[in-house]
Amino acid sequence: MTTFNSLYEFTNAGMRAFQQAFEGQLDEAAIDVTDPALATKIDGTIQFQLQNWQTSKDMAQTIMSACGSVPLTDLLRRTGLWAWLSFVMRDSVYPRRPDGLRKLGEIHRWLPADLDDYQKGQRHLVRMPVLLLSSFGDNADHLLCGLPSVPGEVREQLTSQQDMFHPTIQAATRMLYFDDNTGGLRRGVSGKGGGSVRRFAKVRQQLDVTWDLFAISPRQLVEKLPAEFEKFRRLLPARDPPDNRSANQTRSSIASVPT
Amino acid sequence: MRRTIRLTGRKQLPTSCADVSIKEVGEKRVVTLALSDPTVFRNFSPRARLTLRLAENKQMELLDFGTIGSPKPVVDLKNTTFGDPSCQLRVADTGDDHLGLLLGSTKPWRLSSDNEPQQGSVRGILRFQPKNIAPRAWKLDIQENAHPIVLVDERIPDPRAWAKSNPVFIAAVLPSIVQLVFEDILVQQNPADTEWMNDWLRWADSLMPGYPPPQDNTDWTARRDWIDRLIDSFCQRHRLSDKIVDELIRAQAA
Repeated sequence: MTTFNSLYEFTNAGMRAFQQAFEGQLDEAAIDVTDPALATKIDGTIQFQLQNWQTSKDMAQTIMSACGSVPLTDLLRRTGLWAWLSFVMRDSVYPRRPDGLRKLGEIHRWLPADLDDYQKGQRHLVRMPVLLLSSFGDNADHLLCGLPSVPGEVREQLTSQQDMFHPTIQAATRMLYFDDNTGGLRRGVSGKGGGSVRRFAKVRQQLDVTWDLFAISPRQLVEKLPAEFEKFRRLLPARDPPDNRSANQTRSSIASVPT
Repeated sequence: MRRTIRLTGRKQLPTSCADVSIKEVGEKRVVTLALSDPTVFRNFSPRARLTLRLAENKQMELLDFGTIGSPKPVVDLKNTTFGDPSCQLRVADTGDDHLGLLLGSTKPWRLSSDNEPQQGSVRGILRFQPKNIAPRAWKLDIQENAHPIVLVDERIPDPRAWAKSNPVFIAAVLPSIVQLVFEDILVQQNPADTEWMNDWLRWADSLMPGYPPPQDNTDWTARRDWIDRLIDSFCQRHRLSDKIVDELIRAQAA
């Protein structure tokens, strides 16, 4: 297991080399990820060890732990960091396919876009899990339970809209779709069928016209869903897990992503 | 004439009903809210809750401004990085029977750029805002929950007026902006569900009545052709090429 004594961020030259390597124009072995010409140490960050992560959550936790004394808010916009992480973690996050090429997909899954870009900023396979875990903690389990290389439909559907970035919404969808016993998703969450995450995204928009969904508890939100969600709703425990939200939301709350 | 019938009973509040601003007080930021048109709120229960939703780039903060009967004028803002968030005022029921029922809401608006004086009294579908964006002279800022903004290099004298009146800018840049905006809109699965996108689609319909955008958001060719036709209609409606030619001839003659 490779260990670094801190996190690094690519310099401009490092960014160019990284992009060339992932586009097949430069041998990956040519990039020394601690060469000062290509990458600089981020002061305040601490030891970071590469692992064979089985879930995006584990990966995100490792990265967050390595942030040390640097607030994550200071790091999220530093694209050089997320590019460096993408490169050093490439075998976990962008593994090679049988034909030898890396499974890269759309460019912003590996080359971090501007965080302010509402469509592309959330596609990065390393930064987005960190952002979700830091925003929602365990209520992001359903978004982060897959392999780091497979973001999956659940994450795509449940983070596609701005209004999904709220603890009530994510806590409600975790209750519906995440199976604590298996640590994975329940059957039937994907696709276009009744009660699926895709349907949840649509139904939430409809409910949002009538209800202030941020003012109610996750359980109350789940109860407002139509009958098509019954197959998931009946699996819920009789009582809520600990929920520190008050039903009337009597105080301000930040839902999300500190930047 | 279009009429919107709201079957939910939710009242559409005008954005002018409240003055909202972010202020720096020492090291903290606060949001102030003044109900500038109390008549808009008179039919709500005094116990109905006033909430302001601020959102920008996957950040959201909900601010509790108390109740209609006892509104708070100032609330602390935890977020330290909001630049030009979209903002929506919501009024919700607090009774046990209908807890969380939305009684009224405004359309989302952008807190900074929409509060700047816009041309006329009507807020258009495109905003202009001076900003330090050098080396770019202009840049389109598209967010999920609010109308797009054209950022204009703040070093340009009176940049907002310049962008709205300079014939070269209008003829050369605005068609590109239309293209960029619709490229963003037409890749969405249900763009009409997003208020600002719906406004733009209605604008396009006014330019090309009876020629709706392609239904298939994956058909790149159909999208490109539709946008191209829209830009032709836009340029024709405003005689953009004539105007830029007139301007160039006038400049040469001077």
